[in-house]
Amino acid sequence: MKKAVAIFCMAIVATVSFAGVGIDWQTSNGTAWHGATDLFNYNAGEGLLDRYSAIWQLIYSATDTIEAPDYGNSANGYVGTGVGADDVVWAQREIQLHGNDGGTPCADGTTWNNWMLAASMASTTYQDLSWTTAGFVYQRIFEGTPGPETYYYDSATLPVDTTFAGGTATPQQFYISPDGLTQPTSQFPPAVPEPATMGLLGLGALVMAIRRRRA
Amino acid sequence: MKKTMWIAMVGAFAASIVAASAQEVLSANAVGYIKRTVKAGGKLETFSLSLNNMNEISNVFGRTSVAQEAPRNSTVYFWDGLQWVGGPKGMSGWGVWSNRVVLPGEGFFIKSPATSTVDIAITITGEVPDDSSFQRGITGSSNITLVANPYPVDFVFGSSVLATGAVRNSTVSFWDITQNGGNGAWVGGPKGMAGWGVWSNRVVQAGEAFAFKEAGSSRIWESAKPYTWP
Repeated sequence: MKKAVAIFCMAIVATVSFAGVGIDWQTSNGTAWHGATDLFNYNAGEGLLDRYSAIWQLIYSATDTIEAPDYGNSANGYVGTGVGADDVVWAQREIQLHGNDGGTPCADGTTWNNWMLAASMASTTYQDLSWTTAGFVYQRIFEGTPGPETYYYDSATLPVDTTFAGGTATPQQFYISPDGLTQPTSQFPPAVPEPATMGLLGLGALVMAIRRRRA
Repeated sequence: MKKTMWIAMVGAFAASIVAASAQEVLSANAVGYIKRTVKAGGKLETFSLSLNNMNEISNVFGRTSVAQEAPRNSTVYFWDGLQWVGGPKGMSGWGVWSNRVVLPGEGFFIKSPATSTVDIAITITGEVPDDSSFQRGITGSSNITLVANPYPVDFVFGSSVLATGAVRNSTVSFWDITQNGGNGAWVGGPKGMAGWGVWSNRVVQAGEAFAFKEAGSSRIWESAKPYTWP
């Protein structure tokens, strides 16, 4: 009897006491491209992947602060690089133009249609059973390859539950776009010309001015 | 899904049994058998008792074929609405969990012994229900209910009243033992503007359970008998 009780206790401990994170991240309704005007209907050709490829990220932030992305930081998933920046990409899906339904799955095995709705029954859960640090996560979607004047979307943050035990435990559900289509509306600024380029522009303007005066 | 399945029916109801695509279902007269397999090495699999105990009005877990066939050191987990509760099968059986009544349409997990090295086949045995319908309470406000088909047949999730009657942002999760390196994990998704998406076509097997979160109010899932016998 004691042995049975001991085994039972071990089983319960195994169920509830391991710390970790498990986050099921996907969209409820899908994602439209930045120019779509109707976010409550699936109008043909208005899905984000109808027009662009996408990079879709689950990002951890210790401080509940979403740092603006940096398109020059491709080595670290384009996260911000300013002073105090601490955002880290936990998981990333790179989805080709027109989606990858029937094509090559993302690294996590998932496939998505033009609206970025799940096209396969693969797991959409990111899990790390060794993670114990509190913090927050958010989702970011880049429309196409990040660069000057391209668009992206940042979700609100979600506090991370660090008590996920795996097994029968259900992961945190982090579904963006619960009320309509998600839309990338944030935009990177135009590229700033380098000083040398600025100098050339200035020289050109000077030449033009001299020519006009002579004429 | 790759497990062999076949149905044999003896007696007057031979032509009526509904095929289950991935589980072994046998039946003699109105007695049915649904075979489910729990992977070895402490792996989990969902179960439901979609066949009635032949001698009692309710399905008392300890007296079911599932409880009896599961080897010692297997563990049963029931969802009590807030957390998993349950315990192992010891020398004296299932202890207090022997008396747990399993409702029609209620799911639970069986975990194989951690030291097991061979997959465990467990047969759900009982009488094919002749009730014209079953009612299963579904907890609302995005709480989890572990549900299953109360009848011993497969069904397409998206076609069920449970799925069509759910409000948007309800979610469904199926246990998939092939995920997470063969340790299993929940897979599923929300009901959105486009309905249940890919999960609409998910076939729920006879004897399988799944997790359902109703985003709306608590409700009753009334499931009508999908066959004309017994």
